[in-house]
Amino acid sequence: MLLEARSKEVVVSVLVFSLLSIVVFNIAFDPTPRTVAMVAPGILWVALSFGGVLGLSRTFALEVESGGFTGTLLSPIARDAFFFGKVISSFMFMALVELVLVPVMVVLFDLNIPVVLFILVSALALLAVSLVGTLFAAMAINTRAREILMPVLFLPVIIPALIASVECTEILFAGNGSGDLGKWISLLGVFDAVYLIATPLCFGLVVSD
Amino acid sequence: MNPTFRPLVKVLGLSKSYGRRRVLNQLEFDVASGSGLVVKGSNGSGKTTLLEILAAISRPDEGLIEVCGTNISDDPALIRTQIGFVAHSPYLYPQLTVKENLIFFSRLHLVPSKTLDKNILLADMGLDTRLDQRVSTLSHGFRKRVSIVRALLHQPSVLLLDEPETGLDEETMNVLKRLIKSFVAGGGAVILTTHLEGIDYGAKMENLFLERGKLIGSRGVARET
Repeated sequence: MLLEARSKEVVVSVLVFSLLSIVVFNIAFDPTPRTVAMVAPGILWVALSFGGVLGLSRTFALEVESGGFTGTLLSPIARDAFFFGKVISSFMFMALVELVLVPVMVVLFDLNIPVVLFILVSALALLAVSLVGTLFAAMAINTRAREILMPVLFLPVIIPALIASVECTEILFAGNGSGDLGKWISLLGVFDAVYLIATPLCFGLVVSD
Repeated sequence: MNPTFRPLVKVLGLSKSYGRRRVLNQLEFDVASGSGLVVKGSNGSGKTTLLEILAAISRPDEGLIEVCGTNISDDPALIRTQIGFVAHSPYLYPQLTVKENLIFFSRLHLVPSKTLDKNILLADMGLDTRLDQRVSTLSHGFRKRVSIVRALLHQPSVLLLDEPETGLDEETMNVLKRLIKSFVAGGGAVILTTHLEGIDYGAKMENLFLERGKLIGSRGVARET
């Protein structure tokens, strides 16, 4: 966190990428009040997940290139504690990006968002992206084609969470009753629960040789 | 065998391969408390791999490794509390200051960061005046000094040094030699690798030669103090 606070390299690049995506999509689709609830959720989660891929692989690359990552592995700290530290920092970076992104979307698309439910959906979705993204960033880091490998590994696995996030957000943006909101939030919750157990176990194997 | 001999590091049948290439082949040695081992070998002979396995950041394919009586595969986290590793790369965060790095690594080793103020090694290494300097602005020699302090923050029993002489000037080498001597005199064990001949570390050090993954040559004491 301190490294990023000092360099701001990752947050700024992810933020700029995500903002540009939203502006480009806004121009490309020119959404009307009728279509905005269908288009905006997809735009938001595409911008955030692709931005997340960019940021996650870069944060790991910075640590590995500097050697600090190996220095950390020399300590007796449990590998899963280290993993969750990375997940928490990734989650906070992406939450920060979303905090800037959503008000921009509200202005551009004239959205009316139920704040509490949207925060719940966002928290679950960002947790999913952070868990899976941190694991695959660690897997891809020692490969030559890490920039390509990371999205190739990450995107197929994150699709269930991405679909659930888009569906939840669409229901919230449409503002016409809760619909299947509970079902999609449950799917996000189950996805997070499964990967909360699986990813730290896999991370231990990935970083040990 | 000397009845007081207490191996801090014991290696039996250690092997490691990368793909088809066998880097380490059935290595066997031990290092007692209050002594050291110099592993010599040319580039690519497996010296760094050996140290990485002993530091529990790389896994052997086969073999038994005990550090302070604990099998490395049983409890690698416990082993890491007993080992200090100074590698080629300083393993520091260049964007952080010397002090921030040392505080961070102290916390990882559950060492109270307040003890840093009393760390006499900082003055010995000439780092007490550079604590607020970013690591990225330090010379190679000073980064290595910080790396040595980092490796000793948690007062390990075993010190691993990977070609420590690389890039060090005479003054820093003298500091390092003094440090190795006092570490060994204090009952620790040192294992260092080098590809240079004739460096006198001023402590009881054995010499082994690593060639094509096998330990060969002298096990005689190079110099006794």
